[in-house]
Amino acid sequence: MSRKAMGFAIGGGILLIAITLGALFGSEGRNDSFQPQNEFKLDPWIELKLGPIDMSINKAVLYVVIAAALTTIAMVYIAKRMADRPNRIQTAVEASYDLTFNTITRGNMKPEMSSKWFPFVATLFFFILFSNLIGYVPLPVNTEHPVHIGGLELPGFAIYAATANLSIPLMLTLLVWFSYHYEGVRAKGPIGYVKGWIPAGVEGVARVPIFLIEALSQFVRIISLSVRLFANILAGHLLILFMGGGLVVILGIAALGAITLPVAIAFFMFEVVLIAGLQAFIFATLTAIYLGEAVAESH
Amino acid sequence: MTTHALETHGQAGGPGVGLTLLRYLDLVILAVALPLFLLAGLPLLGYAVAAGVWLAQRAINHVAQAKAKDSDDPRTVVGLLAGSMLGRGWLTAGAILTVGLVGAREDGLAAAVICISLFTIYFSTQMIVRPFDEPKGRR
Repeated sequence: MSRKAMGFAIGGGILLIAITLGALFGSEGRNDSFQPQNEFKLDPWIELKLGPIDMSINKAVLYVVIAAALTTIAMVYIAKRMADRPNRIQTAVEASYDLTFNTITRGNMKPEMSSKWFPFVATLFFFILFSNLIGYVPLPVNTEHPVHIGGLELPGFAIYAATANLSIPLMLTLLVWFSYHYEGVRAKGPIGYVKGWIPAGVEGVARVPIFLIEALSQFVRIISLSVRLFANILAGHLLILFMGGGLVVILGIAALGAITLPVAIAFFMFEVVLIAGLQAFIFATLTAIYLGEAVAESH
Repeated sequence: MTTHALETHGQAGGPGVGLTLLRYLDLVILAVALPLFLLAGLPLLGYAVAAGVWLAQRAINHVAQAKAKDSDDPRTVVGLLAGSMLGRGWLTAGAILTVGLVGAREDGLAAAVICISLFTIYFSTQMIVRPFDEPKGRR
């Protein structure tokens, strides 16, 4: 059987099963009790309020702690392993080091500056990578919909990512934003740094609108850097949620699951294999670019 | 990456006990769950179906991975791995649905919780173990 014929046979088989399931079970009608947006709701597990500031421990905090712990373990492990004799594990460690140091950091800034900022850029990369990756591991964190088996009450399994909550990407972005401005001001002085925003070759009156656009673009970076990460991860989670069962539950058509489940698996793999690493890479690379650009001779 | 690291790549011997244990941690947990189910009086039909389908999908994965390793055609490799992934997901979901319909709903729920728990363990351990796997050409 050719690949094309096999594809049609599999697609036809899935459709046939969906139709059979539809004929057997029909539709239970629209389900309004399931609110998909609640999957991202943060119920306080431990109430902690400092005046008007809510610092309650919730699942987002758990994900941040796990990601931070994994980042620390990975960085310490890499640092220790770099001194050991080469072996199979060393190859993996060196690949990580090569990517974060040579490709991301040194590729975008001067050698002396790359040595200084490498720990920061690499930590950002690993923290975002681990945040994204653990976001695809189903964990028993859904306290809103517990499951009851044989008298036991267990929290429901759910996928959630710290980076799917805007506050984390925004804080990381602000950290980057203030860091590269600090580095720029330190290297050129406040006036020199701000003057450096105007591209070389722009003369006369044209400098005023160009400066305003460049100044605005500095603030737009806060939005672009944070929202890119947040929106990509949130969109991925929503796609998996809806295809993995959310759509079936909302519409009350069980048969639809026969078609949406393979789509959910495909989205899941796409997100894990490509998006999680790519978004971490983009964020870390842009950080290195901004840092390198802040101290560059000309814009 | 240093060439020295690449050259000595194959000299490290077989995988360590820790890595081997991680690779099969899901199966260890599956075995450990049986006495817990028996002692706590939890739905055994759900456990039996979950255990059966998990072992079956692990076997399918093993065969697909072995065939993919032996193939030099990238399209065949992608087809095998993607097909096995979708098929295994389908098989697991189908088994959970069936046991929920044929047995009690609690059996289906128990099977679902076991399968998702095992997936969580399997997926997490694979992420740790994968970087330490030998590249294809270096077996």
